[in-house]
Amino acid sequence: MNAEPAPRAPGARRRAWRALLIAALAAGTLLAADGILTIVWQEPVTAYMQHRRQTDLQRDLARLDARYAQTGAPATAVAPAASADSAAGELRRRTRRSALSLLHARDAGQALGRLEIPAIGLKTVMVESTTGGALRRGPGHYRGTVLPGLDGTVGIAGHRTTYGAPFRHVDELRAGSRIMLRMPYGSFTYRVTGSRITTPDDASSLRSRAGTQRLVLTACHPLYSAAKRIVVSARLVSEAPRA
Amino acid sequence: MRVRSILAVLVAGMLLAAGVASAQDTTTEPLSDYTTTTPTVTTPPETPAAGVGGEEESNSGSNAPAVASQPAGSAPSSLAFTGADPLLLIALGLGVAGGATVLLVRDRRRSNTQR
Repeated sequence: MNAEPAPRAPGARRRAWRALLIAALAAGTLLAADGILTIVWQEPVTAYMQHRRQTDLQRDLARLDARYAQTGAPATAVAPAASADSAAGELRRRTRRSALSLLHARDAGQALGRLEIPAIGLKTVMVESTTGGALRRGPGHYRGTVLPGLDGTVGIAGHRTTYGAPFRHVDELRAGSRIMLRMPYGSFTYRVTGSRITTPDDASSLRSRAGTQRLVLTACHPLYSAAKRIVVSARLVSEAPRA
Repeated sequence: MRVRSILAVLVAGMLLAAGVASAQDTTTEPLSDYTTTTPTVTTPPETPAAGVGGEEESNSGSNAPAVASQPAGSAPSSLAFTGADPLLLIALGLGVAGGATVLLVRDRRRSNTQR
């Protein structure tokens, strides 16, 4: 009577032990596979999370676009007789007003505009702020830097290996590469002027310079490390206020 | 049979990882129509600096505004953290998987000898 349960207990323990080992083996394999995928492509789990957040951001940006289309649209054009210079000046003033109105209107992580870099196949929604939470959603605009359309430096940071890795290939940008920022109030095209490697605490590249409209992209460097930062600078070459 | 089960779990894990990876699509649909813009206001293109490393630019514009839109001193004091360390993940994963495999093999041998 008492002899029957005795062999079962070790068998049950052994089965539980083996199940635990198999689970550990599967988990370890998944971890290693995740790391390998991160090296050859990007971190898949956070990429999936960021992809879903980008979908939400697209809706957020669509609402922002609609709001600017209603309230921020330029008034009727300058009188036909006005010179091209005054028309262009008027457009610039309107763009500046729209940029100023948007500069402090968005909370961290909210959609701000669309960032496109054809040379590295990037087309994504960027967000306000560079906090950890904001950067998990997309490239983030440095608070304290200006927005396109304003004199000064527009600063944008993005992940290189995780959360969609929007800036993974940012080191491949060369002088002359185009960068487009499509804001609710207009589109802005920049040309890369150069890049450099610096330390994380060197934010001098984000400082504005009077009379220039620059764009600065930053990301961790080298790939798979956060020891340094890569800074890509670009200069505004054209702007198209939204009708 | 157990070896087959282990292999099945391994393959399922790899397929799951690959499935998650392939489900990603980095391109997104355009949100809004930017084609109806007003006439483009174009600033004269600057001659780009020569390649990587030529980042410093000259800003000597005689018609430049006296004050930039960004208040002095409001720029961030450091650059954002955007990195990760996948090698740590790989090492950790290989360690866990290797340890589990060794223990599984040892357990299997022990059960065989007991028979």
